[in-house]
Amino acid sequence: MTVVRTIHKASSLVLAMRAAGGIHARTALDQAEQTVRAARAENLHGQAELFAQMRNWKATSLHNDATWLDLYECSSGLISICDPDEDVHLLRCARLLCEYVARTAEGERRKVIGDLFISTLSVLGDQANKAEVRTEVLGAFEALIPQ
Amino acid sequence: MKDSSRINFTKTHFLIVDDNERSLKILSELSKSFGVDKITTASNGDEAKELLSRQHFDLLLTDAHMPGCSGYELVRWLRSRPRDQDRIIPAIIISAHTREHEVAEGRDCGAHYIIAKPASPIILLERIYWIAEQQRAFIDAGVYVGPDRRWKNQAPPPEFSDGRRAKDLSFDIAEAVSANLSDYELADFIQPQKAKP
Repeated sequence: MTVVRTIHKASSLVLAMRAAGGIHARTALDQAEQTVRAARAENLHGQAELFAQMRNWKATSLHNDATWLDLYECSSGLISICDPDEDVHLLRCARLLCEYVARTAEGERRKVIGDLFISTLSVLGDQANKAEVRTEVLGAFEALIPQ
Repeated sequence: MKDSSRINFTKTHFLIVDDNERSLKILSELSKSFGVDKITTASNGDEAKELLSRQHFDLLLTDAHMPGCSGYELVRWLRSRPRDQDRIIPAIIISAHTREHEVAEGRDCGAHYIIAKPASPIILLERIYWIAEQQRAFIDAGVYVGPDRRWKNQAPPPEFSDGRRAKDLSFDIAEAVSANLSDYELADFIQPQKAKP
C-alpha cells in the first residue's frame, strides 16, 4: 500500500501574499494591460522575423525531419507573441500548423501543405488586411480541412 | 479574484524559464507589472535546475517544451528535492500546446496550473492568486508529489451512487491528438471540485 505523506507547510508565496501591503488586483491588471500595449510593436516585429524565417523555409528545396520541426518551432514562436484578441486568426492558424506538424512526422505532401500554411499565415499576419479579409481567408483555409 | 482583491508580490522572487527569448520577456514584463520584486530568468531547464539548487524562489513559471530538460521534467525534479520548503514551491507551466494529454502530463508532474500561450494578464494573475488563496496541502505519494487534488477523483457519496460521477471515465492520456483546451477548461481540468448531489 502506498504511503501518502501530507505536507501542510505554507509556501513562501502564500506567506508573502499574506503580509501587509500590496496593490489591488485591478491596479495590477491595468498595469499589465499597459505593458501588453507597450510591447505590441516589438511583438509585431517578432512576428515579422518569424514570417521571414518561414519564407526562407518555403524557398529552401532541401527538406527533412529537422526542417519540418523548424516550421513547428516558428509556429510555436508565433503563438507565444500573438495578441489573443487582435491576432485571433493568426493564433488559430498557427495552432493548426503545429497540430499538422505533430500529426505528420512523415509525408510526401508536407512541403506543399507547409507552403500553403505559410501563405495563409502571412495573409493573416499582415496588419494591412482587415478583420473581414482575415476571417474569409481563414474560413476558406479551414474549409479544406476534412472534418 | 475580485478587482478589490489584494495582491502582494512586494517581497517575492519569481523564476521564469523559457527557451523563447520574446516569450521570456513578455512573462517577465507581466510579472513586473504585477509588482513582483525580483525576477530571475533562465533559458532552459538545466539552467533553471542549477538556479533552484542555489537559491530559493517563491514561484516557478516555466515553458512546457524546451530542448533538453522540459518544463514537465523540471517540475518533477523540483518536487523530488530533499527539503520540503524547496519541493513545495508553486509551479505553473505555460505551453503553446494544450492538448488533453499534455495537460494531464502537467498535472501529473506536480504543477499547480497549466496556462495556454499567449498568456493573458488576467489568467496569469488569477492562477497565482488562486495558489495563494486555496493553500492546498502538498502530498508525497511516491509516484506523485504535488498539490493535493484528491477531491477531484472522489467517488460519489454513498447516498448518490447513481449521481453524475457514476459514469466518470478515466482520462485518456494516450498519444491521441485532440483539440487544445481553453484556459477555463484547463483550470476546470485541474481544480479540485466537490461532487454535487
